[in-house]
Amino acid sequence: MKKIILFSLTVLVAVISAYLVSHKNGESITDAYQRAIPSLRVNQKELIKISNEQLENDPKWNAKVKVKTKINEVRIQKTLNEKISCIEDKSCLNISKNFYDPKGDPALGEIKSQLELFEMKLARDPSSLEKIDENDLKRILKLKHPSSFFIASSLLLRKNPNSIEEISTLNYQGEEVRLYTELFKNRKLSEQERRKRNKKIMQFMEQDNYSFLLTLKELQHLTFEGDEAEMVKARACTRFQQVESFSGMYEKQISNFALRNGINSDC
Amino acid sequence: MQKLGALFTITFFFLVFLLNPADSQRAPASAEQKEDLFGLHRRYFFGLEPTKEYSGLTHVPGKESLYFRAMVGEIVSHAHELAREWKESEPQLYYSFILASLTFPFHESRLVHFTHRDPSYYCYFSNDVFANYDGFMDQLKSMEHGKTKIARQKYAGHLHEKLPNFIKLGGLESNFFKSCAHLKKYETVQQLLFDGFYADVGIMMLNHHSHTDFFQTNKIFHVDQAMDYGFKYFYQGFEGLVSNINNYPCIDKSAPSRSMYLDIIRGAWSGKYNSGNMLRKSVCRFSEANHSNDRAFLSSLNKVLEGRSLYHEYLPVNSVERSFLTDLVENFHQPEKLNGSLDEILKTNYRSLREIYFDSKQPQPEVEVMAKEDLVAQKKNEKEVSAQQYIETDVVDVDEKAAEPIHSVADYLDDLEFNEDLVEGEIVVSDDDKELQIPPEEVKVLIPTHKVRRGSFIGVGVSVRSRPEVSWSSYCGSSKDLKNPSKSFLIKGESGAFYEVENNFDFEDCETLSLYIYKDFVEVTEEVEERRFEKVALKEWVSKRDTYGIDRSIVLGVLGPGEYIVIDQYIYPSQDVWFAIKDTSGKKVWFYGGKLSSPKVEVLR
Repeated sequence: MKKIILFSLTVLVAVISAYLVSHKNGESITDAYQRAIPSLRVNQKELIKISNEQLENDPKWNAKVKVKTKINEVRIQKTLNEKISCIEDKSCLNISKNFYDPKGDPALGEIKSQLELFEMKLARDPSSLEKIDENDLKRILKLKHPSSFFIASSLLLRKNPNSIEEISTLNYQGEEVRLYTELFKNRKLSEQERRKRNKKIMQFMEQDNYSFLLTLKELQHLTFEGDEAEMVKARACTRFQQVESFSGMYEKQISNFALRNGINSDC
Repeated sequence: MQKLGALFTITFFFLVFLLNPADSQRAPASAEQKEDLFGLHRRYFFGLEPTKEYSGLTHVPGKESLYFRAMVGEIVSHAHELAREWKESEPQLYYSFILASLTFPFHESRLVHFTHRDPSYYCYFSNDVFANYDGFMDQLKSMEHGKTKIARQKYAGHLHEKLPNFIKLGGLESNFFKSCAHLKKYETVQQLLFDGFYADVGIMMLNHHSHTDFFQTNKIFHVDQAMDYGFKYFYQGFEGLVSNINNYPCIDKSAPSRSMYLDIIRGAWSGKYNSGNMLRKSVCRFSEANHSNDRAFLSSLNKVLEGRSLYHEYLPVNSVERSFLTDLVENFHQPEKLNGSLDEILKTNYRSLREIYFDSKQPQPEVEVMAKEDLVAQKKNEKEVSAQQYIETDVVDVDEKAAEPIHSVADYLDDLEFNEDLVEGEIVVSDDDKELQIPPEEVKVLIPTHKVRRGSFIGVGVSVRSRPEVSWSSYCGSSKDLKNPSKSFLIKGESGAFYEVENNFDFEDCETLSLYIYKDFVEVTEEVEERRFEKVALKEWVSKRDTYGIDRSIVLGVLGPGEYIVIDQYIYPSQDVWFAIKDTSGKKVWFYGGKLSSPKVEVLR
């Protein structure tokens, strides 16, 4: 009888222990082993083969980096041209299956870096402006990479203030809307410029909801004269009728715009 | 007798196992081990020399409770800043965004950007492989083939492949990260977190191949700026998704609101943040593709929702941050039921917690484990709603585990396993060619100056008056009532026993240009102020940036020719001048004003 009790007790203890090991704070037996034996944490399935060639090469960060002490506009021009071409034909885009932000491609970052070099050169020698190809700057605008777009447009407008016409012919969608409206902030506009801008704003508002919303946000930072604000608001209100979800976001922007411009905030 | 002995032995071991005294003191040990701040990433921290430039909220062993409170404060502030307009117009969306913002950094990095530790105990694989790659490879060749060798090959391969881009983008030196042997001469060092592939960095796990503009500025070494960038990036995706929600059939608008908002959170993460774009297949990947990344994100989200996250592990039970989190999880889809703890968090100045906010340019106070007395002592004279005030009230709730460093024996052995075979000598790196300084080194120069006297209050509750006399009618208020009583004020002159000071105090019914304070309660300091440009006319188009210096700033837009009020300026020794103005959105932005000798601007009076 005692043997049976002892055996039962042992089994019971074993069962309870196993249960506690496997369920203590949600930890599985495998986890417990892995915690106890760190080397087991390496999942063999994940191991990748790395060729000896790759490992024996000199690490890239040890390679001497030659930095030019003189900024050469001709070289910048050449690099820009090559880079723009390969981005246009997509041969140097780093398109990955897992993550691809079309505005964050490293190739676009290189365009921006070249333009910054050019900005630095210009700061020292304003005559360099003549040496940059206007056509290349226009090609950069079409890539719609924000920082490159802004630098290229500032250079283009310095070269030729009428370039605003050409910039207005491009299509802008979603976050790109701000690329265009940015050119009309912080300064006094001519009537012709305002007309062009307003026409474009109306066009943006007719696009998808995200473009509409971002345009409404941009309106808060633009100045309007005469009945321009009324016209813009009227169009915004008409477009607002088509919004089905989260209408409060749009309504708030329209109301802010109206208040800012001293017009009736109701749609 | 034997049977009794066996019974006793079994019962003894059973009881030992059941009580398990070691674990009972440290919750992070068992299941939470996976959540240990270092458990997942121990090899991927890079120790920085104290001479490097860095700043921001930093994990310090033993201060986890404080760290997580400040982390909640930082996240909520960043998220609120972006989505504040939704608070009234779309409150469900607003609180869903706050919940998403608390979730995704937890998922990405386990809420760590920097940790600050003793390199003698905590220095890892990454520093040694970077500093002594050849030595590491030699060691690896002679090592017996096995799992450890394969693992080391794997991680060294990732480091070898990915890290050079990080170094190149930031314009960092080829010996930027030093060996552990080198770092051991310092008591503590700042350590920056990378992922296992050395491609994603910091609390937001930003990928340096995909965010080149950001990494070129080295803002990654500043937690606030990394968070700012990461949250904005996430917000773009979130906003893009909800405004074009009809493009994404995976978001079921007819579903109960809680479920729909959770889908929005998952879609915003799987789309822009994890795939880099808002294509339907990217946003809806979470429901259509059964992708392992989305399963992992769901697991993190569920941990937040079910109270199993690091927040729940480390936030003190009675803290305002924990109370907010609990409330938010329950009620984010029905904001009318949320209590007011959000405002309390937004008002708190967490950055007054110097023991967990580090800045390489400023000396750090002692980083001892904090006792209750320390907190109370530091609170004296503080009227501002500071983090210390909150913490004082519930420091008793800080779990015992927070007072001990988070490193288990298993962690230590694991580190040893990786480190013991490495050659700890420092590689001699040959000097590179002299690089062009772009722009020149940062030393602020002063142009013609004048002296001013500034004062600060001595003591608490100093009266500020509208006239130089002691009377009820002249009383404006007390220094106790000021938001920041320690802030200095300009002394314009003297009037009898009073100083006449510039009125920047914001007292009701006292809106005169000058106010008066009794001299005995003012400490006077004399300062030299640089003469500033006040108004300039920009003659040509320039790029608009978030700070001065081409290599350290991000392009925000453009500024056209026109007149601008200057609110800040920076002049390099080379006499290159940068101006800050407020743009039409009210933000402080910078532009390059050219050489002082041949400026792009005309100085206006």
